[in-house]
Amino acid sequence: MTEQKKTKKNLFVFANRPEPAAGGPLPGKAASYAGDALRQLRKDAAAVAAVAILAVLVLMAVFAPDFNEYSYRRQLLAEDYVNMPPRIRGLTWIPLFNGHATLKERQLSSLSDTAKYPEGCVIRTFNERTVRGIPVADVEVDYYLYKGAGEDVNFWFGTDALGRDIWTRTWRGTRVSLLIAFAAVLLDLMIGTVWGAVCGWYGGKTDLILMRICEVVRAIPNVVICTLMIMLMGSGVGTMILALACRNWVGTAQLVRAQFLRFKGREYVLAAQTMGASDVRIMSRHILPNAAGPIINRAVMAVPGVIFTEAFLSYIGLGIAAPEPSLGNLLAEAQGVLGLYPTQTLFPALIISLMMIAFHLLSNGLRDALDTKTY
Amino acid sequence: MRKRIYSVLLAAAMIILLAACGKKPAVTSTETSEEPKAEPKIIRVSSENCRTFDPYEANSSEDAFNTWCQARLYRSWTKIEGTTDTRYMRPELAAAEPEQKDADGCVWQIRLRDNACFSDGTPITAASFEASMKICLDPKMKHRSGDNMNLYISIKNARTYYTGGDVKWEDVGIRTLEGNILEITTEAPVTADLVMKAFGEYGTVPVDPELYASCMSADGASSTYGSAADKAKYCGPFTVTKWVKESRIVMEKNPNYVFADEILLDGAELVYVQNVQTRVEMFERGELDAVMITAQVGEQYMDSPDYFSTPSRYILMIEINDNTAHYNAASDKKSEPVRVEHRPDDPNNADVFTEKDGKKTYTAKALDASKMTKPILANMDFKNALWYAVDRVTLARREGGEPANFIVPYTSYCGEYSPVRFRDTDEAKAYVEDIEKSFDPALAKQYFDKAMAEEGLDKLELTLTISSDNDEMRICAQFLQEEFDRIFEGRLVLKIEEIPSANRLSKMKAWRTDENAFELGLSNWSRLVTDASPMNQFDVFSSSYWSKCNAAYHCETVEKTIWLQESDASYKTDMAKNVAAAAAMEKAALEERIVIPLFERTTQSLLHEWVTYDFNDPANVRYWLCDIDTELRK
Amino acid sequence: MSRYVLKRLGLMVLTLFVIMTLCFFVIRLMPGSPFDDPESSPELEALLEEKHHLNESIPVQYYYFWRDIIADGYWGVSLKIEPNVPVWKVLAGRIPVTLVLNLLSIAAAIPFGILAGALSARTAGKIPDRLIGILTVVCISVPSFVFASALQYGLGYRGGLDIIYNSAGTAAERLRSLILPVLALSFWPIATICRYLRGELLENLNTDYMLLAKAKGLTPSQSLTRHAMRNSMVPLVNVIVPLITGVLGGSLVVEKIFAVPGVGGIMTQAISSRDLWLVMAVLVFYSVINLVTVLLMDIAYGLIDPRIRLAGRKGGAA
Repeated sequence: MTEQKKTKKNLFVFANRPEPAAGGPLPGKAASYAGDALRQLRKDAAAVAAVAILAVLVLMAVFAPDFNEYSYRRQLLAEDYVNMPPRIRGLTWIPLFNGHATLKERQLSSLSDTAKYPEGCVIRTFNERTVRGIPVADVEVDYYLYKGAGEDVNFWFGTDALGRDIWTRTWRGTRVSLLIAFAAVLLDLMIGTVWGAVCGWYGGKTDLILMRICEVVRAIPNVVICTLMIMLMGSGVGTMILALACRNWVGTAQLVRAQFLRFKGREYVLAAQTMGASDVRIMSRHILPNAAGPIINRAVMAVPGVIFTEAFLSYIGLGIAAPEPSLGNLLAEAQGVLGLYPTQTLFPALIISLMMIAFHLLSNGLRDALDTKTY
Repeated sequence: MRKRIYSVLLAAAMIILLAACGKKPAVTSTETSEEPKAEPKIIRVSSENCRTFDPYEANSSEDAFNTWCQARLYRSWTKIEGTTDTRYMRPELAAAEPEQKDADGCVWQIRLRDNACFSDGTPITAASFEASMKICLDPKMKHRSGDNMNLYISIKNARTYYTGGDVKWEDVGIRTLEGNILEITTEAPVTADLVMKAFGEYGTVPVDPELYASCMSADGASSTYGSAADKAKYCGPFTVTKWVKESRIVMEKNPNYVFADEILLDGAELVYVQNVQTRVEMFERGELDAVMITAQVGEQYMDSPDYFSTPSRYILMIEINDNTAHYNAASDKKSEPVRVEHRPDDPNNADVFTEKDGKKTYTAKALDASKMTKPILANMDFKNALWYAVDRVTLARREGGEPANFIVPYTSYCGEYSPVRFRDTDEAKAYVEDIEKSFDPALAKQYFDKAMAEEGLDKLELTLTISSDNDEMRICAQFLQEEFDRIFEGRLVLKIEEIPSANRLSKMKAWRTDENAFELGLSNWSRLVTDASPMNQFDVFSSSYWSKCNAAYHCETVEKTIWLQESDASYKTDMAKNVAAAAAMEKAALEERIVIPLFERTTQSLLHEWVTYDFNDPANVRYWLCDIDTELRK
Repeated sequence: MSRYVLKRLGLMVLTLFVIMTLCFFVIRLMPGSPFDDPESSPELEALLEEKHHLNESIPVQYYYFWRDIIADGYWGVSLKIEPNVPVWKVLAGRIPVTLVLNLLSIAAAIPFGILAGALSARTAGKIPDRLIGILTVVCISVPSFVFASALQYGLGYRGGLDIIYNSAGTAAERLRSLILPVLALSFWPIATICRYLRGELLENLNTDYMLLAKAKGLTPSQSLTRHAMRNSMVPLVNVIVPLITGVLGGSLVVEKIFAVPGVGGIMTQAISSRDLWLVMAVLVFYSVINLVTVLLMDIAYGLIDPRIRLAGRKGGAA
């Protein structure tokens, strides 16, 4: 084919233009499918914002755990820096980051005891009442002063019940959650694509049997399949990835199969077949690239679902083992002390929400850009 | 009887809370006695979830709370009663103490009260009691209580009947006689005290045979008796009037209870709230009168006048599977311990039997220590390294407990009526080192390096098996993981294996047959306070402990002394001897580092103003833990 | 149509059989025994295992399992959570709670979703539409348990509403304590319905009959409610039915947060205490719900588009 083209090019000469056009060939590259989609995507402000958010989150997940001197597992128990509120130097004018905390039902008489309450740590007392005849009040204190921590001790997101830095844990948890999500989606794509391709390409009995299996797997609820996997293999990052990919691939397989059915009758495929290309080559080189758009879109759409499921499994106690944090683990742990230490829930919740929103926006943008609505 | 209970603190707290509530009437009666129309005295407390009110099913160590409920709802013949100075068995359903009817002490008769009945008035007669026992021992249903029936006395043929042997019910040593009398025949001579003890347990309480039968499944293998408030009949101080599963149990005073007039409370509402935070919120809103809290919440409330902290009865410790222990399969306690060596020539490594004076002595399985994949676990220097690597003070502060470098908990007293704690005796103080000295990172590192050099190891990875449903263990495990990593400079990697408690038990229990069943584990042993003998704290460490499940330790002194105690009653009566023996055992056990004790739990609770109790009175703490019902009486 | 439904039903039963078989083997291969108990003698453990046929080989147990179900309709009794109570009886008290919570969330979501969707379509491109668009993305993305935590903190701890489900109260009290969990669960369905309806309405607004309506002199609002809405409502079924499975997943955690005694809470309990047949029943419950939803969806598709029931359903509809 290419040979022919060349000869043709030489044979035909522009009649009214003896020299090649002064400007040379058309500037810029021909608009490829991907290029076109990208341009479309770039116009979508929401999608661009989503990409930016995701980029920041990924960068933070990679680097942020090393921004301070604490590690995700180091426990500052000896110093008694347990359940510290967040404090960021320079941002203490924001109530969230001023390092203040409320102590419940303190006896008013003991407030002047500097051994218990170092000087200057009591900011205000409120909710004064008497319990068992003893005057008590809730006390807002500078918790860092209260615990005897110096100016240089700052936990940006606070610490947890074991005195571990929540900043480090949250970002490391983000990393773990993202890792699990990407790995699970990748696995899902790999299985789904091969499965769907085989179904779509070979058709007939193979297709029938393989698709029946798909239908059965699809009928098992996510909860059930994840639970079974974890029951069987114990909890861990590996199991989690497998469990999450274990059902999702069916959707990919069905999608890929539909794409293959659509393209397998096309002329260029027939041409490749006539030229003796192997099945694998045709599937991977000729049809798959055409089906790439919907598959990519599906993958992006699958990520938030996986992140949600991971968090949800951690919540019901089937998550990955300590001390490795994941966003789900962090949320589940913090849920128990939500009323006392709401900031422990706040940051992981914010990040997981941001992440999910970004992935949704991106997949919306991609859907429009790739115009895959019809699939 | 010992109870190995993870959730014992919950039960203890419950007991404390309800006991504390018993004080309410006392307070109100002095202050508001003028008012003729007193409000019904009902306490609302946070509780655990209850599984069943079938007295024959609920008797497992997993649900201390269930056992606790049963003690409020059911009564058998007798009950241990008493205050700090007097303890006695009080006949409850029985009219009087059992009478010995033969020379040996194998046949006993007991007359039931004529007015004994369930809360709805259904009479409890000797015949219905016998029918109850038949249900309890039913070979088809295989109730847990049937298994425990022979704990104190061996009723003739009961075990054979229960296990499905070829015995008819008529041959079992429980018989109804004329005049509301039951006759018990035992296999070996027993005392009246033991008979009363045997019929003072929750497993031997009567049920209504008719109701039981009506709840029976078609194949007669299971009954739903006790699965709802109206599917059981109660003969104890309280009845259940409402039971919303996983939420609320409403108890009311049982007017037909034998000693009904002694109960001060009109009722109790037990609210199951899983989340501590929610419990506290409900307490603050006045929806609950008494709640149990965790150390983390306790930290916030520790200055509150409503906050109370009281010692629990157990010490959390690290167990090391060093394969030195032996398992006494026959659990024949009347035998002398013999150290059994592993015999490589024995193909099955079968149980070893020795005959002495015509008696089977010591049946044990010897394990082959050479099969251990981590022989360092048996290394003394390694154990020393672990011992000195734990900052117990910090750990205890985090967990809300007291640091412990000893085995007998602070709540153990020298004898049932003694106000002296074992820990305060000179004998016990002699060998326990200063708690500060028990944490020495440099020394730990030194021991560790030595152990590693001896074993020729460069890096070591060990698995610590814990229960996934126990937050206290989880925190502790993560603490240890981090500390060991820091102190041993990354050479000891502790992997935490979190598995559900049922699963964990079977895993750790396998040490009896598998040399590598587990490596390290966290556990706690706790006991009833009725057993106020310091020595008894140690029989869980001996090979004769019948349900020795994950205690893979072996200490020669403990082994020998416990055996001596079994055959020498003077240990039980002579407290000085008892204390000395306990001290000797503890000293040896600590020196051999058979376990690494970490800290002793305290139970923390918030109680409303009218709920008062003197927490500083040690006798009273013990007293509650035995039983609270008397506390509810005048 | 009835033949089609029958065929789908048959397939459903077959699928359930496969799922149950899978569950059975996984449950039986789980390490640990329900009768492990330091308080009971090894002898009792053996006896209990014998009583429940757990000492047999797994294929034999599998045979017993099906024999009991088919011959006696016996699904086993709970071993640990509520000893001796038949598993479905254990669930009988919990299934309604879970269903009420979930259906209530969806029922509450429908009017709000429709309202928001209509408003959004009516003001397409303008500020209200933009705002709703942002809210929709947020509601679809943010996990229900994050909402639950936020609601519990904001309206519960701080606002004085019930923090947890009050299962012992009167019907009114129970309903009141369901406010927060229902709220937490309904954000997602509201957003889903809204987004779907907006798309449908916008498509309808461009049709000729809308032009006619305009020509007739109807105001945009009138034509929207009288014509476009009517046509968009039918396919809405396709969105609402699958919402059930979606909400059910989230409700597992929300139930836990608000201590709702539903099916979700018992699942983890049953697993960790090795209450074998109860685990089975819970898993079957979730599977049946899923299967029924798929079936309903198929039937709905068939009703709406007769071509489908002739050709059989194509994949990828989920």
